Amino acid sequence: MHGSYVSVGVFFLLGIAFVAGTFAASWLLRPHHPHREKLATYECGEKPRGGAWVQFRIVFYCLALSFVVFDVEVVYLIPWAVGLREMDAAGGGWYAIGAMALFLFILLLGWLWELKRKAYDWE
Amino acid sequence: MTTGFAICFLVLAAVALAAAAKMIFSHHPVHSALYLVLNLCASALIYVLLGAPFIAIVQVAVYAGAIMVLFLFIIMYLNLGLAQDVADARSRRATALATAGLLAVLLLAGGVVRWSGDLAGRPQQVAAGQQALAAGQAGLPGAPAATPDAQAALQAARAAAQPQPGQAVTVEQIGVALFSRYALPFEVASLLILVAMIGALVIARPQLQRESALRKEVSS
Amino acid sequence: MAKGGTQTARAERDWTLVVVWIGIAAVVLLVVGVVLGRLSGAVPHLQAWWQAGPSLTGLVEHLLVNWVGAWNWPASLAWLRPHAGWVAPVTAVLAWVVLIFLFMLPMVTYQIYALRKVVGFMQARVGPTQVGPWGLLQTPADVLKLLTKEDVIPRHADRIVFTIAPFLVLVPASMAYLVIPFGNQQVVDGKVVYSLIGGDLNVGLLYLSAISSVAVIGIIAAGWASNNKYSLLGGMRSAAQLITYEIPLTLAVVPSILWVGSLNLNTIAQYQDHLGNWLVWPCFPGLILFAISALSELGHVPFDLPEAESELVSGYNVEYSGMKFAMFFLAEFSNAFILSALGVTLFLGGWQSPFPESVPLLGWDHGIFAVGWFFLKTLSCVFFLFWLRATLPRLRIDQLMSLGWKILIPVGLLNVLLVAVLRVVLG
Repeated sequence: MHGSYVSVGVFFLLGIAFVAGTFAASWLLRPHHPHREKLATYECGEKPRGGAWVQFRIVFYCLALSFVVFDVEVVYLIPWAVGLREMDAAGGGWYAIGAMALFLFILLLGWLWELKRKAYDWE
Repeated sequence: MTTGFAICFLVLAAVALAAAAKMIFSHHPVHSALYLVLNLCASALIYVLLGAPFIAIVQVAVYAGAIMVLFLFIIMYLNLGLAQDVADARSRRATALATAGLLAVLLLAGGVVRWSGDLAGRPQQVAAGQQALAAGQAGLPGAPAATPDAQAALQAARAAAQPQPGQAVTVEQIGVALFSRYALPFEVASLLILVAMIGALVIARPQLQRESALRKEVSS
Repeated sequence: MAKGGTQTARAERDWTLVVVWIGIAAVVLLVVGVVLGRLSGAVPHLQAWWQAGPSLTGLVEHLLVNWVGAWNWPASLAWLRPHAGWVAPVTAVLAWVVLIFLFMLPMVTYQIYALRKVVGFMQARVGPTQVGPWGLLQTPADVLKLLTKEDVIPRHADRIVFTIAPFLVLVPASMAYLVIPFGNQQVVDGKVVYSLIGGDLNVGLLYLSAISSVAVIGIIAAGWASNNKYSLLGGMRSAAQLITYEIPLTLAVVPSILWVGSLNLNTIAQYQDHLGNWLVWPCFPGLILFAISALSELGHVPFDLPEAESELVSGYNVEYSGMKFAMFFLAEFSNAFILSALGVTLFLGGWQSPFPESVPLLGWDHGIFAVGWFFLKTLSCVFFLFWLRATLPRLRIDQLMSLGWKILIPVGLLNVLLVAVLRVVLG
């Protein structure tokens, strides 16, 4: 069982080695002639004005929070989906579907509330 | 097995601790967030070592994938600069120390309770196995040796009393447990999620309205 | 007329040349294989391999397990001898990884070439023609050019995060290849003879979704570290789009998980052993949902807002140049392949042949034949992506968000419940 997870580690390390290796190869091959103008931030040829690190809209926060909520929901959904056949074989198939339907119904209320408050409308 | 396990654990624990320390001492919140991602991934790998791949993957998907995106979006929204810019960092030091101390005490207390509970529980489980063994012997009058069944029961009890790093809990087992033993907490979790959904929007609402008013002003 | 005539003649000559090239390559490979086999004394292993079902990685694994195990260990390596049972599988994984990386690079390079040719054909152009015969060397030349390009890091950028971001995007993309079942797994008496899946993880599908969610962090980091308005805006938009469509994507695969009762991609592929068992039948709405969400996850037409040239120049990678830029590009095309492969595995029978086993040749699906079916199906899906790219216009961001949150998520949840009911009714 651990064998397959060892391969995850090997893939991870070799993935890093691959990117680092290409960067190293490119470092050996490429020219390096820095220049003031060249290192300026690209703004379609205009002189750059100010930095980009400014305040962003709060909509992104709302979106990310909705995402976390639905992600957690999916995390509950997956063990249920995997175990459904076994539960059905033990005679609890309808019960499992009912329990999940109740769970999703409660979340549907939240979704409807957000829909009504126009949380999903991007201006 | 055990040596390899120990080496892997020590390396991962070192990475997790180093990442946590860098997270605290980084000057920029975005750097802190990236170190936190590293920390979460390293602890996820420790879960894999402990035989809980499902929890490990949920940790990466939900914490490193979703919650860290939320953190980064919040950092972008608050437009936090370097940590030195925070003028009143010094005045918060006492509060921070007190909170950290309290948290450390709670964690240690929890660990001690859990550990002593394990120590208390282990003899009971072994005793249960021995009882089963005795029952097996009693069930076969005149048989001097234990029956294979009873021996297996004792072995199982001993195994249960010791944590097995190699044995994984399958997703199927989690699913079945979730809908039998933990059905009520599962349904309550949906209420908690509902509160989070509504609460987030209520908190953001004034700012959302301010931004949309500003947008109308600019466009008109 | 005369011009048309010469063009047809030229096209015919081109095709003849392709066939001749493939023939020459096959003969060379065969000769090299036989010579190497003779030299290494691997002929008995070769025979066993052929009987088990011919495949390249099968050969590698078979040789490693049977050969390294029985190897006459030199004294310097004698301490490894008791660990042969552990060394051989790890070496096999290493061989697999090297194979995947050797495969991924040309694969992606020629995916780009194919894209340019196919879209060119659809728009009545010719695509690349200059470098090599039929422009075949155009994309390798582009890779070489990127490799020798100067690496410009803007003065106001965060240098460390700027360099780490390509890792955060490409490493997850390459780790995804681990759980893709390229073909079957031959098991005799509980012992794996050969396996065409890198890591047979029981949580394979979840592994993929966890891996891909880390790439979102990489994209935000790239956009932020550039300290460029277009980059940061593009990065934030990409991230918003990716997280919006990650939920419908996962919801789209839940019916397949539910039907088979496993997260293991190999088990799911094995389940679909004949056309009637393909998961596309019970989970058809899932396939549609999967296709839409996958397009959006890839930032592909009609969801290519992150690289909206007219508004954002090119999105989060504006400031990147040289090999760092190439990494984002590589990840993008590699993800297109992975998501196509995932769609094929979850809905279209994976490496299984649609014909019954009794049909000679077409019905065979083990070893090299399984790999053949897998690539035929996956590359058809990739072709479908190219086709869309040449056909559809781009959505607006408000349309994109409403489609995700207001339509796809509720439809996905409903679909999950309906398939669950169907599963329980059918028993």
